Amino acid sequence: MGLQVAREEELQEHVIITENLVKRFGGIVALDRVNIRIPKGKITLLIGPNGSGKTTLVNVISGFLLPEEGRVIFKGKDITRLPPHERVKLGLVRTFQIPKPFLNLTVLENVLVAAEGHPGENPYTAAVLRSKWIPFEEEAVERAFDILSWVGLYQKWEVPASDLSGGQLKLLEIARAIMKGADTIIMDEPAAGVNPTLVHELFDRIVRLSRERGVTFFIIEHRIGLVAKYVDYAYAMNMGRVIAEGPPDYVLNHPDVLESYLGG
Amino acid sequence: MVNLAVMAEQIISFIAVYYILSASLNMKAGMTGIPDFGQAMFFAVGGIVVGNLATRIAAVIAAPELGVTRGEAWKLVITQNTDFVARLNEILPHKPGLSIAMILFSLVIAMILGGLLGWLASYPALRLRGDYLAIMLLTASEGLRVLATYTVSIMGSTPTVGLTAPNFFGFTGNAPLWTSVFALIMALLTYVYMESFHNSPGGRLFRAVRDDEESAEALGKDVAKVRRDAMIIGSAFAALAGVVFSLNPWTTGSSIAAQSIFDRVFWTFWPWALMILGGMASNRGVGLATTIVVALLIGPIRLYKQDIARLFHVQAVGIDVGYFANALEYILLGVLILLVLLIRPRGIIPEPPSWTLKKDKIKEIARKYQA
Ligand SMILES: Nc1ncnc2c1ncn2[C@@H]1O[C@H](COP(=O)(O)OP(=O)(O)O)[C@@H](O)[C@H]1O
Ligand SMILES: [Mg+2]
Repeated sequence: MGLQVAREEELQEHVIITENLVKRFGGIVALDRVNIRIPKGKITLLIGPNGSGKTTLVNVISGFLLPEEGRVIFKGKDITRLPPHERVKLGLVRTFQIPKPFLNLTVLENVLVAAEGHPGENPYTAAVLRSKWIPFEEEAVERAFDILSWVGLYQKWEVPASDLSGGQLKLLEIARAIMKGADTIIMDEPAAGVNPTLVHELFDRIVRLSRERGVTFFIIEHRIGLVAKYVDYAYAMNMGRVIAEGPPDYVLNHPDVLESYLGG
Repeated sequence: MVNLAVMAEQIISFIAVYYILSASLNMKAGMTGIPDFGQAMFFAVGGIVVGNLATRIAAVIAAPELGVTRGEAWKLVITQNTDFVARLNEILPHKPGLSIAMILFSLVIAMILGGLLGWLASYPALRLRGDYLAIMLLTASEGLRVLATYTVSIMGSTPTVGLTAPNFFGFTGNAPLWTSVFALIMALLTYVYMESFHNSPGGRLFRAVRDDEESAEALGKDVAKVRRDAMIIGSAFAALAGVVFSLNPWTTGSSIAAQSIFDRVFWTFWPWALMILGGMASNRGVGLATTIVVALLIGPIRLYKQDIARLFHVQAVGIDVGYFANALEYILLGVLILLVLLIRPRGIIPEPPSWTLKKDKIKEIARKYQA
């Protein structure tokens, strides 16, 4: 009985829970019994040197890879085998370390595609019943411009995504994730390639989204320290394993973590 | 002496058929990125619905006047096609109601069956990618061609002759004119539909899936469903093109044989060429390319190719002039595609964005959020 209550409290407090995740690529064990718990409404950081398994973990949590063993629990529901788009419907969205824009779509269109539940996306009615989706679209365009001006891509709304620089593509990834309006956002190295001033603006905004709207963030970063001051909790991985977890200061100064970076 | 009226009717009908077919391919390949090299089989659905299904039904309804039982009419109109269609053609001009009903029936049923075949073909399209899918669809189309050729109940008793569409436009008094008008109207409706779809969130979604499936999936889009929908809707329009072609025996040739309606060069490779020339995911470009190329090919080049061919003096190297004249069409097409790919690799009119709202409206909204 007591255990049951404790279990439920844990589910309430943690949006994402992974249980003993194992993922192998041939001989490489990219995830070696990974257990993490992402607290609800907080910003959690995951650091680790290149090749430590961070992106693989994101891929398993978001459904782009199936684990060989273990489970992914999202809001108390086992989602281990759910296709990615159904996880998005539950409120879980991720960005890609290497941006994956819709290259021939304009910047504005890229953001608009992220609008959730758009009635105009039904291909059987979209062309003939325009009045059914125009109001939704107008509202979506408003939100898109709001987000674009915030990430600093406002001036670029009309250019195709293929014209953006690497840093701008990162911002576009983030703009789409925010447009999605998900309550849980996983960002795979959002700061890489973005200029430092913008990184700090970005994280100020992430903090606000988290504090004001209760959005949960799980942020991957391979450099130690850069964004530590913004986060509530931290995990560190090395060679497919979680090697430390706790308050950011504790994790960043943990001897094993420092050593993993020296070793790499 | 060239009969200009006949030539105009021919050109209009062919432009209409090719535009509808290329626009259909554009929805699948240009917008959604599905390499559909089986376009001919969806086109053929339209031919079979007109030449077989609609013809049978017309014969069954007109059975008393044909002097046979309804059961016999259903079979004989296919097995003794030439004879029975000739007899039907004497009756149909006096039956506008039946004729119009059969035209509408053909349109609706062909689009439904075309969509159904597209839905079936979408199953491999969900699993296979790129080259494999292209080859699979091409093979499926060729397979169905062979199957249709030797199935009497589909293509009649003489494979090379095939079926002849009855004169469903006989009641108008000037069938060649009204079939061209009909073809033109169908093409215009298709154009309006395709423009509207491109400029809708649905069109934007198709283009997004084409550009990056994983990214679309990560944004909560059911990519498998998008590809399936593109195959269903796109293929329905291919079947429509087949109906427009087959209802029109004066301008487009008289028979609906498996060899003609499943022809991969005519109904798969040509639409691909027209789409590439016009611009992938560019409905206007496809329309423009179709109009220019078909008008030139059907008109001047088909008429004067013998004269043009003679200029090359190919007899000197032992090539038959007539043979060369036919090849000229393909050579010209090849040269045209090469030129466009070199000069304008994205086609005559490059892919436009999906203007879901008027540009002014978007700019008005934008102004509110100026930093
Ligand atoms: N698709 C894949 N196929 C084979 N090996 C992979 C694949 N993805 C990742 N790996 C390997 O798994 C390990 C972890 O990679 P990754 O998760 O990308 O690390 P990180 O994001 O921490 O840099 C690395 O050794 C990498 O080479
Ligand atoms: Mg990584």
